Amino acid sequence: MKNIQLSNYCRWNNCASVTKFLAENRDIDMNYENGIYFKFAFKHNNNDMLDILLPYYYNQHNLDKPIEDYSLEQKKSKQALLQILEECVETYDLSKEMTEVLKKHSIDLSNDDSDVDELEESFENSIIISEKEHGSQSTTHHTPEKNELDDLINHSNAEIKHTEEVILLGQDSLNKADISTFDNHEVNQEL
Amino acid sequence: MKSTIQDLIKQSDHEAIQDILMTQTELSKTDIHQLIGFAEYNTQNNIVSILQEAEKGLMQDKSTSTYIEYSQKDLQQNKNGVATKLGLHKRSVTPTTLEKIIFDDSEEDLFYKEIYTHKDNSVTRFAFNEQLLPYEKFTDSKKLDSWKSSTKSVAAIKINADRIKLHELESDLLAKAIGYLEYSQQKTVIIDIFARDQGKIKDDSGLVELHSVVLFKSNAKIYVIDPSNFSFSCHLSNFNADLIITKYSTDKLYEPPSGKSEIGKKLVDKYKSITGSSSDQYRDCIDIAVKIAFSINTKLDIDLDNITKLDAIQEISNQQEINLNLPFSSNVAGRIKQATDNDVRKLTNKLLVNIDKQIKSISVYQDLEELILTQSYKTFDSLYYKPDDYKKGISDLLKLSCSNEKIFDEYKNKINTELCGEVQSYIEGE
Repeated sequence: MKNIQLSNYCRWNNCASVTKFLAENRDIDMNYENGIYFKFAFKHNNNDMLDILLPYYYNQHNLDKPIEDYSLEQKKSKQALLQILEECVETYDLSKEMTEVLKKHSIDLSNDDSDVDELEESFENSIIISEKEHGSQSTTHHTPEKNELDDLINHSNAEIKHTEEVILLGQDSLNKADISTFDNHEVNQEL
Repeated sequence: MKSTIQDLIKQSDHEAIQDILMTQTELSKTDIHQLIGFAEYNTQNNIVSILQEAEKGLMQDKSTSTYIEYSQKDLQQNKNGVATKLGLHKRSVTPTTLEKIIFDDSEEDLFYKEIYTHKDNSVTRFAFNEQLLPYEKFTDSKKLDSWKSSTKSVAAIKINADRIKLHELESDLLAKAIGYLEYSQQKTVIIDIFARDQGKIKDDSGLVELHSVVLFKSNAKIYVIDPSNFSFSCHLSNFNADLIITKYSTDKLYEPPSGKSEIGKKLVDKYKSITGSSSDQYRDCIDIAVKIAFSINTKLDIDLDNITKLDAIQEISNQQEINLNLPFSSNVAGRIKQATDNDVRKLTNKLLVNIDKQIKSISVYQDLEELILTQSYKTFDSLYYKPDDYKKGISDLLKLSCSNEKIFDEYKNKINTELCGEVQSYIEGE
């Protein structure tokens, strides 16, 4: 019922209730319904709401540290968050204010679509989500593309085992050929 | 004959076309529809008019008709096994809404038509005969080399969609549908397209995956309304970008739950499929397309950019991101919400909006919120009604609304009485 309550507050664009509710509840599943809370924040273009949800997620999963110190679980949590945010950016226009909040939390999903040619070029370069670690030390890494993220997060045990090995080898060494064989494109599910 | 006329259309040879049409005996009505679509595609408006005249002539000569029709009764009796062959038993649409099925020549046609009617509303679906599609014709379909799986913006979707070529069968069916829109003066038709993954036609299980969309004609343009995700069908404008307008976005109007979700797994275990005819199964895209077509048939115009704001879409959508007043998520099938009958659908949606407002008001009183939510979800989770029981469904929602109101009133009265007592004690104590 707590998930439904929070989902309602986000749907009603009620930031005060979201803040109060999250302060009182530390065990909310932020991935509920494929990150519906974040989707509502983007739907309402509410940067204040996003700025409440993101720190909660970071605190809950202890992600406020350099990425090289992340455990495997933390890496998965961060990737799950990035996948949710990517879907939000796919669906809704990313305003300057929302971009600022993402930047504040070291997430860069920016993509200049004002110039089609430039965007086509950015396709060639793939989607790069650069992350700078919190604090003075900065690290940038290449986050897997969306289908790779899907694979990393949602697969069966056997696939996860394979993925874990890949992650442990370092994300830059992700074997795209292997990953592309996975079949997990729920976003493209036709009726 | 048809290909000769197509060549003449390309050459803009009006006179030769007229000569052929005056003497020909081979062309069927469907051929003419397809040629009208082809002429539209080539922006040959004069030839469109000539073909429309020829169509009228054919209409007068009923002897040219070679149609094979299967009535609702034939389909219910599975005459010649047609209903099974077309997979009608797996569909979610109410059987009485499908009035008839028409094959131009025989049941072995690659294309056929389904006519859906309800009261004075009707829409035609131009369908592929799925089982007969020549599988080998699709193996050439390749993923686009430079397609990136993440389509991060409207512009990115457009770039990818612009590179998808329509399959020749898709083009043929689309031409027929456009011709029919011209001839019939109908506002909408439903058309099958091939589902794609990164530009490649999906054919994983040896069958080609199909998807259905609505075409809406207005002011010499045809707008594509995708019942599920607009990015699935935005390549249709490649047929003729001046004529066919698509929406470049990932907006989802309707979506059943994923097979990996709890409810999805339950339905697959129970029925082997998330969509279907049982009251707890979800509606499929054909069913949703029919409801959308019925709802917008009376519109003069639509704004594709703001299509999600249309009353009809708000009513039919099961996505809270589209309908922000929807008190439950897509984890609730709630088929009554997409009922064919306007009155049922509108009443259901009015009640749901009211219940959502109640929950919103009550959320101020935290100790009451959980009770009301629990009670409301108990009703939502049992919103499984067959069309015959829709009156009961509406009554149940009304009961919930009244019960919520009563609980709230009692709670407010109790608080007020307590406050009165406290104030009274204070005043008397003074």
